[in-house]
Amino acid sequence: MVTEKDLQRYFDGELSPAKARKVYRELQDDPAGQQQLAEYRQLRSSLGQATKAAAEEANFDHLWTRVKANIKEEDAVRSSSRFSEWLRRYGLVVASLAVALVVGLIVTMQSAGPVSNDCVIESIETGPNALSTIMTIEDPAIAGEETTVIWVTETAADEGEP
Amino acid sequence: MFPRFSTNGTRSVIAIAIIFAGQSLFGSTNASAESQAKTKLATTATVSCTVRSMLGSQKAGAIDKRLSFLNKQLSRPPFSAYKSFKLLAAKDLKIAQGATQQLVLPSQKLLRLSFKEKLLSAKNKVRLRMHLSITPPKRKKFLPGTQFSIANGGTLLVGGDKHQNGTLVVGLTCKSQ
Repeated sequence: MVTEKDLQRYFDGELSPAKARKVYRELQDDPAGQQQLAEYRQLRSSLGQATKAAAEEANFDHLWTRVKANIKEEDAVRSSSRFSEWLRRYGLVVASLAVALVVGLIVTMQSAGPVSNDCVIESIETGPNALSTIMTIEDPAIAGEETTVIWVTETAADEGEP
Repeated sequence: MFPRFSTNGTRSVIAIAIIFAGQSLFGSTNASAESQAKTKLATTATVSCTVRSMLGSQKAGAIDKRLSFLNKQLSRPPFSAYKSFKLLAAKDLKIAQGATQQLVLPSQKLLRLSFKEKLLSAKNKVRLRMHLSITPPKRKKFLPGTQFSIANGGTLLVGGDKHQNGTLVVGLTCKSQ
Protein backbone atom coordinates (compact mmCIF):
# COMPACT_ATOMS: atom_id res chain seq x y z
CA MET A 1 0.00 0.00 0.00
CA VAL A 2 1.50 3.28 -1.13
CA THR A 3 1.24 6.07 1.42
CA GLU A 4 -0.34 9.41 0.52
CA LYS A 5 2.91 11.21 1.13
CA ASP A 6 4.94 8.88 -1.10
CA LEU A 7 2.26 9.07 -3.80
CA GLN A 8 2.38 12.89 -3.82
CA ARG A 9 6.20 12.91 -3.92
CA TYR A 10 6.11 10.27 -6.67
CA PHE A 11 3.65 12.41 -8.64
CA ASP A 12 5.81 15.51 -8.12
CA GLY A 13 9.00 13.60 -9.14
CA GLU A 14 10.66 14.23 -5.83
CA LEU A 15 11.58 10.63 -5.05
CA SER A 16 14.96 9.05 -5.69
CA PRO A 17 15.03 6.66 -8.67
CA ALA A 18 15.20 3.64 -6.39
CA LYS A 19 12.33 4.83 -4.26
CA ALA A 20 10.32 5.78 -7.36
CA ARG A 21 10.77 2.25 -8.78
CA LYS A 22 9.61 0.81 -5.49
CA VAL A 23 6.48 3.01 -5.42
CA TYR A 24 5.78 2.13 -9.04
CA ARG A 25 5.91 -1.62 -8.25
CA GLU A 26 3.64 -1.18 -5.23
CA LEU A 27 1.12 0.80 -7.30
CA GLN A 28 0.67 -2.18 -9.61
CA ASP A 29 -1.13 -3.98 -6.79
CA ASP A 30 -2.84 -0.88 -5.36
CA PRO A 31 -5.98 0.17 -7.30
CA ALA A 32 -6.77 2.90 -4.79
CA GLY A 33 -3.31 4.36 -5.21
CA GLN A 34 -3.67 4.19 -8.97
CA GLN A 35 -6.99 5.97 -8.72
CA GLN A 36 -5.44 8.64 -6.53
CA LEU A 37 -2.58 9.11 -8.96
CA ALA A 38 -5.01 9.41 -11.85
CA GLU A 39 -6.87 12.16 -9.97
CA TYR A 40 -3.61 14.03 -9.38
CA ARG A 41 -2.84 13.92 -13.08
CA GLN A 42 -6.31 15.06 -14.08
CA LEU A 43 -6.13 17.94 -11.62
CA ARG A 44 -2.75 19.05 -12.98
CA SER A 45 -4.07 18.81 -16.52
CA SER A 46 -7.11 20.94 -15.68
CA LEU A 47 -4.98 23.57 -13.94
CA GLY A 48 -2.61 23.69 -16.86
CA GLN A 49 -5.40 24.21 -19.37
CA ALA A 50 -7.02 26.94 -17.26
CA THR A 51 -3.75 28.81 -16.88
CA LYS A 52 -3.07 28.52 -20.57
CA ALA A 53 -6.57 29.78 -21.44
CA ALA A 54 -6.21 32.71 -19.05
CA ALA A 55 -2.85 33.59 -20.55
CA GLU A 56 -4.32 33.41 -24.03
CA GLU A 57 -7.20 35.63 -23.06
CA ALA A 58 -4.96 38.23 -21.43
CA ASN A 59 -4.01 40.96 -23.96
CA PHE A 60 -0.88 42.82 -22.95
CA ASP A 61 -0.68 44.77 -26.19
CA HIS A 62 -0.98 48.54 -25.67
CA LEU A 63 -1.45 47.95 -21.97
CA TRP A 64 -0.02 51.39 -21.05
CA THR A 65 -2.21 53.07 -23.65
CA ARG A 66 -5.27 51.59 -22.05
CA VAL A 67 -4.05 52.49 -18.57
CA LYS A 68 -3.55 56.10 -19.67
CA ALA A 69 -7.00 56.16 -21.25
CA ASN A 70 -8.49 55.01 -17.98
CA ILE A 71 -6.58 57.70 -16.09
CA LYS A 72 -7.91 60.36 -18.49
CA GLU A 73 -11.43 59.10 -18.05
CA GLU A 74 -11.05 59.40 -14.30
CA ASP A 75 -9.68 62.94 -14.66
CA ALA A 76 -12.61 63.87 -16.90
CA VAL A 77 -15.03 62.54 -14.36
CA ARG A 78 -13.26 64.56 -11.61
CA SER A 79 -13.36 67.77 -13.76
CA SER A 80 -17.00 67.21 -14.53
CA SER A 81 -17.80 66.84 -10.88
CA ARG A 82 -15.82 70.03 -10.05
CA PHE A 83 -17.78 71.95 -12.71
CA SER A 84 -21.03 70.59 -11.35
CA GLU A 85 -20.05 71.73 -7.88
CA TRP A 86 -19.13 75.22 -9.18
CA LEU A 87 -22.38 75.39 -11.15
CA ARG A 88 -24.36 74.37 -8.10
CA ARG A 89 -22.73 77.09 -6.00
CA TYR A 90 -22.54 80.01 -8.39
CA GLY A 91 -24.84 79.09 -11.30
CA LEU A 92 -27.75 81.21 -10.10
CA VAL A 93 -25.48 84.18 -9.41
CA VAL A 94 -24.00 84.05 -12.89
CA ALA A 95 -27.41 83.57 -14.48
CA SER A 96 -28.83 86.53 -12.54
CA LEU A 97 -25.96 88.79 -13.54
CA ALA A 98 -26.30 87.71 -17.15
CA VAL A 99 -30.01 88.52 -17.15
CA ALA A 100 -29.35 91.91 -15.55
CA LEU A 101 -26.66 92.64 -18.12
CA VAL A 102 -28.91 91.74 -21.06
CA VAL A 103 -31.82 93.78 -19.70
CA GLY A 104 -29.52 96.72 -19.04
CA LEU A 105 -28.16 96.56 -22.57
CA ILE A 106 -31.65 96.46 -24.05
CA VAL A 107 -32.77 99.46 -21.99
CA THR A 108 -29.60 101.35 -22.88
CA MET A 109 -30.04 100.59 -26.57
CA GLN A 110 -33.65 101.74 -26.43
CA SER A 111 -32.75 104.99 -24.72
CA ALA A 112 -29.82 105.56 -27.09
CA GLY A 113 -32.03 105.69 -30.14
CA PRO A 114 -31.98 108.52 -32.68
CA VAL A 115 -31.94 111.96 -31.02
CA SER A 116 -35.24 113.74 -31.31
CA ASN A 117 -35.25 117.37 -32.43
CA ASP A 118 -38.83 117.81 -31.32
CA CYS A 119 -39.25 121.50 -30.50
CA VAL A 120 -42.21 123.65 -29.54
CA ILE A 121 -41.94 127.41 -30.13
CA GLU A 122 -43.87 128.85 -27.21
CA SER A 123 -43.44 132.52 -28.07
CA ILE A 124 -41.57 134.54 -30.62
CA GLU A 125 -40.83 138.21 -31.01
CA THR A 126 -39.26 139.67 -34.11
CA GLY A 127 -37.72 143.06 -34.55
CA PRO A 128 -39.21 145.90 -36.60
CA ASN A 129 -39.14 145.32 -40.35
CA ALA A 130 -38.54 141.65 -39.81
CA LEU A 131 -40.70 138.65 -40.49
CA SER A 132 -40.26 135.32 -38.78
CA THR A 133 -41.47 132.05 -40.18
CA ILE A 134 -41.56 128.81 -38.26
CA MET A 135 -41.04 125.77 -40.43
CA THR A 136 -40.55 122.09 -39.78
CA ILE A 137 -38.46 119.63 -41.75
CA GLU A 138 -39.77 116.12 -41.54
CA ASP A 139 -37.45 113.18 -41.26
CA PRO A 140 -38.81 110.51 -43.61
CA ALA A 141 -36.81 107.85 -41.82
CA ILE A 142 -38.59 108.38 -38.50
CA ALA A 143 -42.35 108.75 -38.39
CA GLY A 144 -43.41 111.95 -36.63
CA GLU A 145 -39.85 113.20 -36.27
CA GLU A 146 -39.20 116.73 -37.47
CA THR A 147 -36.74 119.55 -36.98
CA THR A 148 -37.95 123.07 -36.30
CA VAL A 149 -36.54 126.01 -38.21
CA ILE A 150 -37.05 129.68 -37.39
CA TRP A 151 -36.45 131.76 -40.50
CA VAL A 152 -36.12 135.51 -39.96
CA THR A 153 -36.39 137.76 -43.01
CA GLU A 154 -35.46 141.39 -42.69
CA THR A 155 -36.89 143.93 -45.10
CA ALA A 156 -34.58 145.86 -47.44
CA ALA A 157 -34.82 148.96 -45.24
CA ASP A 158 -33.07 147.18 -42.42
CA GLU A 159 -30.56 145.12 -44.35
CA GLY A 160 -27.04 146.41 -44.07
CA GLU A 161 -27.82 148.61 -41.10
CA PRO A 162 -25.32 148.35 -38.28
CA MET B 1 -35.33 73.97 -6.31
CA PHE B 2 -32.78 76.62 -5.50
CA PRO B 3 -29.28 75.44 -4.82
CA ARG B 4 -27.80 76.19 -1.42
CA PHE B 5 -25.28 78.95 -1.14
CA SER B 6 -22.32 79.13 1.09
CA THR B 7 -22.36 82.80 2.07
CA ASN B 8 -24.74 85.68 2.61
CA GLY B 9 -22.61 87.70 0.19
CA THR B 10 -23.65 85.44 -2.62
CA ARG B 11 -27.29 86.04 -1.81
CA SER B 12 -26.66 89.77 -1.77
CA VAL B 13 -25.17 89.64 -5.27
CA ILE B 14 -28.27 87.84 -6.51
CA ALA B 15 -30.55 90.32 -4.81
CA ILE B 16 -28.72 93.27 -6.34
CA ALA B 17 -28.84 91.67 -9.77
CA ILE B 18 -32.57 91.00 -9.48
CA ILE B 19 -33.26 94.53 -8.23
CA PHE B 20 -31.20 95.99 -11.08
CA ALA B 21 -33.03 93.87 -13.63
CA GLY B 22 -36.38 94.80 -12.16
CA GLN B 23 -35.61 98.48 -12.19
CA SER B 24 -34.37 98.25 -15.76
CA LEU B 25 -37.49 96.45 -16.84
CA PHE B 26 -40.15 98.28 -14.93
CA GLY B 27 -38.59 101.50 -13.68
CA SER B 28 -39.19 103.59 -16.77
CA THR B 29 -42.69 102.22 -17.21
CA ASN B 30 -43.71 103.26 -13.72
CA ALA B 31 -42.08 106.65 -14.09
CA SER B 32 -43.81 107.31 -17.38
CA ALA B 33 -47.13 106.27 -15.92
CA GLU B 34 -46.68 108.73 -13.09
CA SER B 35 -45.71 111.58 -15.37
CA GLN B 36 -48.12 111.53 -18.22
CA ALA B 37 -48.36 115.27 -18.05
CA LYS B 38 -45.34 117.50 -18.35
CA THR B 39 -43.78 117.99 -14.98
CA LYS B 40 -41.26 120.52 -13.85
CA LEU B 41 -38.20 119.05 -12.25
CA ALA B 42 -37.32 121.00 -9.15
CA THR B 43 -33.60 120.66 -9.49
CA THR B 44 -30.72 123.00 -9.98
CA ALA B 45 -29.92 121.65 -13.41
CA THR B 46 -27.37 122.73 -15.95
CA VAL B 47 -27.46 122.39 -19.71
CA SER B 48 -24.62 122.13 -22.12
CA CYS B 49 -25.36 123.85 -25.42
CA THR B 50 -23.43 123.88 -28.65
CA VAL B 51 -23.97 126.89 -30.89
CA ARG B 52 -22.96 126.22 -34.49
CA SER B 53 -22.74 129.04 -36.98
CA MET B 54 -23.13 127.74 -40.54
CA LEU B 55 -22.92 129.65 -43.76
CA GLY B 56 -25.22 128.58 -46.56
CA SER B 57 -24.07 129.91 -49.88
CA GLN B 58 -24.47 129.54 -53.62
CA LYS B 59 -20.82 128.62 -53.97
CA ALA B 60 -20.38 125.13 -55.32
CA GLY B 61 -19.52 122.67 -52.64
CA ALA B 62 -21.09 120.32 -50.22
CA ILE B 63 -22.26 120.15 -46.66
CA ASP B 64 -19.37 120.46 -44.24
CA LYS B 65 -18.46 117.05 -42.85
CA ARG B 66 -18.73 118.44 -39.34
CA LEU B 67 -22.41 119.04 -40.08
CA SER B 68 -23.09 115.51 -41.26
CA PHE B 69 -25.58 114.99 -38.45
CA LEU B 70 -27.72 117.69 -40.15
CA ASN B 71 -27.38 116.27 -43.67
CA LYS B 72 -31.06 115.41 -43.96
CA GLN B 73 -32.23 118.80 -42.73
CA LEU B 74 -29.80 120.84 -44.81
CA SER B 75 -30.80 118.92 -47.96
CA ARG B 76 -34.44 119.99 -47.69
CA PRO B 77 -36.23 123.32 -48.07
CA PRO B 78 -35.55 126.02 -47.11
CA PHE B 79 -31.90 124.96 -46.98
CA SER B 80 -31.93 123.10 -50.29
CA ALA B 81 -31.74 126.54 -51.96
CA TYR B 82 -28.04 126.63 -51.03
CA LYS B 83 -25.31 124.70 -52.80
CA SER B 84 -22.97 124.43 -49.87
CA PHE B 85 -22.86 124.70 -46.12
CA LYS B 86 -19.75 125.52 -44.18
CA LEU B 87 -19.29 125.48 -40.42
CA LEU B 88 -17.90 128.89 -39.49
CA ALA B 89 -17.78 128.47 -35.73
CA ALA B 90 -18.90 126.18 -32.95
CA LYS B 91 -18.95 127.11 -29.31
CA ASP B 92 -20.05 125.26 -26.21
CA LEU B 93 -21.94 127.06 -23.48
CA LYS B 94 -22.75 125.70 -20.05
CA ILE B 95 -25.81 127.39 -18.68
CA ALA B 96 -27.17 126.93 -15.19
CA GLN B 97 -30.89 127.04 -14.62
CA GLY B 98 -32.08 130.64 -14.64
CA ALA B 99 -28.81 131.91 -16.10
CA THR B 100 -27.96 133.40 -19.50
CA GLN B 101 -24.89 133.00 -21.66
CA GLN B 102 -24.02 134.99 -24.74
CA LEU B 103 -21.66 134.99 -27.67
CA VAL B 104 -21.00 137.04 -30.77
CA LEU B 105 -21.97 135.39 -34.03
CA PRO B 106 -19.86 135.70 -37.21
CA SER B 107 -22.44 138.27 -38.40
CA GLN B 108 -21.54 140.33 -35.30
CA LYS B 109 -25.02 139.84 -33.92
CA LEU B 110 -25.24 138.92 -30.27
CA LEU B 111 -26.74 135.57 -29.35
CA ARG B 112 -28.12 135.29 -25.84
CA LEU B 113 -29.32 131.96 -24.58
CA SER B 114 -31.09 131.32 -21.26
CA PHE B 115 -31.93 128.05 -19.61
CA LYS B 116 -35.36 128.37 -18.04
CA GLU B 117 -36.15 124.91 -16.74
CA LYS B 118 -36.02 121.23 -17.24
CA LEU B 119 -39.26 119.44 -18.04
CA LEU B 120 -40.29 115.84 -17.86
CA SER B 121 -42.65 114.81 -20.62
CA ALA B 122 -44.55 111.63 -21.34
CA LYS B 123 -42.46 108.46 -21.50
CA ASN B 124 -40.08 109.97 -18.98
CA LYS B 125 -38.31 112.04 -21.62
CA VAL B 126 -36.52 115.19 -20.60
CA ARG B 127 -37.27 118.46 -22.37
CA LEU B 128 -35.54 121.79 -21.91
CA ARG B 129 -37.23 125.16 -21.86
CA MET B 130 -34.93 127.82 -23.29
CA HIS B 131 -35.04 131.45 -24.30
CA LEU B 132 -33.07 132.74 -27.27
CA SER B 133 -32.40 136.15 -28.72
CA ILE B 134 -30.26 137.12 -31.69
CA THR B 135 -29.90 140.86 -32.11
CA PRO B 136 -27.39 143.43 -33.14
CA PRO B 137 -25.57 144.70 -30.03
CA LYS B 138 -27.71 147.07 -28.01
CA ARG B 139 -30.54 146.97 -30.55
CA LYS B 140 -33.82 145.18 -30.48
CA LYS B 141 -33.83 143.88 -34.03
CA PHE B 142 -33.89 140.63 -35.93
CA LEU B 143 -34.97 138.15 -33.27
CA PRO B 144 -35.28 139.89 -29.90
CA GLY B 145 -36.72 136.89 -28.17
CA THR B 146 -38.20 133.46 -28.58
CA GLN B 147 -39.02 130.89 -25.97
CA PHE B 148 -39.11 127.25 -26.85
CA SER B 149 -39.01 123.81 -25.30
CA ILE B 150 -36.95 121.18 -27.04
CA ALA B 151 -36.22 117.52 -26.59
CA ASN B 152 -33.06 116.85 -24.63
CA GLY B 153 -30.19 116.77 -27.12
CA GLY B 154 -32.36 118.16 -29.90
CA THR B 155 -31.35 120.83 -32.37
CA LEU B 156 -33.18 124.04 -33.32
CA LEU B 157 -32.17 125.87 -36.49
CA VAL B 158 -32.43 129.65 -36.90
CA GLY B 159 -31.72 131.09 -40.33
CA GLY B 160 -32.13 134.18 -42.44
CA ASP B 161 -29.29 136.40 -41.29
CA LYS B 162 -27.40 137.72 -44.32
CA HIS B 163 -23.66 137.17 -44.13
CA GLN B 164 -20.75 137.02 -46.63
CA ASN B 165 -22.92 136.70 -49.75
CA GLY B 166 -24.79 133.92 -48.10
CA THR B 167 -27.07 133.24 -45.20
CA LEU B 168 -26.06 132.48 -41.67
CA VAL B 169 -27.82 129.53 -40.07
CA VAL B 170 -27.44 129.02 -36.34
CA GLY B 171 -27.88 125.55 -34.91
CA LEU B 172 -28.58 125.22 -31.19
CA THR B 173 -28.12 121.84 -29.61
CA CYS B 174 -28.74 121.60 -25.89
CA LYS B 175 -28.39 118.65 -23.59
CA SER B 176 -29.12 118.33 -19.91
CA GLN B 177 -26.17 117.46 -17.66
